Amino acid sequence: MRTDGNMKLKLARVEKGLSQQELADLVDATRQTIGLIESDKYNPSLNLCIRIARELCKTLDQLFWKGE
Amino acid sequence: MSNGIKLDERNRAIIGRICTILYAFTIYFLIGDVLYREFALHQSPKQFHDIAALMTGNVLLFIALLLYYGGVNVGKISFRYIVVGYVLFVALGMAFTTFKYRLTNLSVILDKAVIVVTICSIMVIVAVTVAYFGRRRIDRKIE
Repeated sequence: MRTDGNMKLKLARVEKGLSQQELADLVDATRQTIGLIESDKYNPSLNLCIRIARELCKTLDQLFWKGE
Repeated sequence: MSNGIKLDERNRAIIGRICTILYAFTIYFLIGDVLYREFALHQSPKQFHDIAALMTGNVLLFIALLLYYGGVNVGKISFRYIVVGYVLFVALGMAFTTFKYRLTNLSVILDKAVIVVTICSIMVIVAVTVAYFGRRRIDRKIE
């Protein structure tokens, strides 16, 4: 079952009108890594989280905090 | 799909893990190879000195780099533990040497002991020195 964490990032990316590849290019990652982050199958480093948050104009909490 | 090969943090982590596993396997196989040549094939050690030297240099450099770059966190170790560690190291070296050369003569054992003690001393001094400078390097980065 997918967690909220996946959907927050995916929704933010779609809101910005970015594909996974486009977001990956902006944050110097690969499309596979972005896909794995959205699937909650890879834990990105803090640096990568910050770069993603900046590009999507969101805070870390909004994208990565898992609510209880 | 982007052109060319791109390596991000995830790719580098995977490559690092694969290299670590293969390195460990290589060292274990080299150890097995040397032991097999010596005890099963009864080859003269001169025939595989190059493999033994490569393996020994590799492992010593690996330990030194681990200590220097903080791969192993070394806190304050009391002098007593260093001495105990050193004595155990020498005892292990002597046991290996005695078994390898099948020594029975006490004067020959003492001659070999001088070499073992010297080599162990150099290795312990180098390890402690490298660990000290590595820790200082990291502490300076924190300041």
